[in-house]
Amino acid sequence: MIDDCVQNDVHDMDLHDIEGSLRGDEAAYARLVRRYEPAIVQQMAHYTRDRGVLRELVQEVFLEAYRGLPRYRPEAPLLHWLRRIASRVGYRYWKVQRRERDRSVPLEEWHERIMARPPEVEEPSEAAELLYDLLERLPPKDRAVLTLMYFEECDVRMIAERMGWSQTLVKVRAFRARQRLRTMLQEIGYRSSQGNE
Amino acid sequence: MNDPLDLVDRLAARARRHSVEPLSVADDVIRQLRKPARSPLVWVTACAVAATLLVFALVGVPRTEADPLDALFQTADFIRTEGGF
Repeated sequence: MIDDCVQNDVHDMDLHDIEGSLRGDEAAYARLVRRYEPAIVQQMAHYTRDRGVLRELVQEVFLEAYRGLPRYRPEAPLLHWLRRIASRVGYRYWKVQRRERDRSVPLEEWHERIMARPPEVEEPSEAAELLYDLLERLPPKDRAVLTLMYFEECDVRMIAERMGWSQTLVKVRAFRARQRLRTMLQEIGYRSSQGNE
Repeated sequence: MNDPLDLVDRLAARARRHSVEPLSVADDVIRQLRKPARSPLVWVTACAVAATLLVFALVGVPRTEADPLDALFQTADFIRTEGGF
């Protein structure tokens, strides 16, 4: 009940600041950015490990959101709308990156690191890095689906909303991406029982 | 043999606990919003100006020392002026 009240207050504050932003009130938009940047920073960190790039991506999300603000419909929470923009900004960044260079570390090196100790005792930051390293090897579409699935625990409907894809397409891509990942791990001779030893 | 993706699921569960160091972009965003947007028209105009300058640089600026009226009177010798100044 309390959570609902807090949510409603936030939603009211958002609507007030959105109206202000649309009238050109910079302070109102700065308030919106400050309210949601922690969540967006956390999300965009799944798209890069470079702090400078992370800053640029988060900025890009809020600039794009500002330009799209007249199209925002208040039926959905603002954060959902921002997350959708963020997912697409991140995906676009990967597509450009992919064309520029492929920086994945050798899979064998990754395998050695994961075999050193089971994920449960791994530092969360290390686990995040290992997962990032693994997903980095996939094409951007596969990586986008699995990033939303693994890092953000999105279900099919949420991924479809975020990426603007149909649910069927998400299911097919997720299946193929997981299959690709499975093959990759099998090729380096991974056996999950080894990870528990 | 177990599914190797179990490892990825376990890794993901752990990775989700990671929280990123905070970062503030609000001031930068507002600064960017103050910059005037570059429309395609600006680029087209800039290209046209650059092309004109290039043509002038290659061909040279036409000399316009002579008054066009002087040239007209030079060739139109049928026009007679009476008296001096």
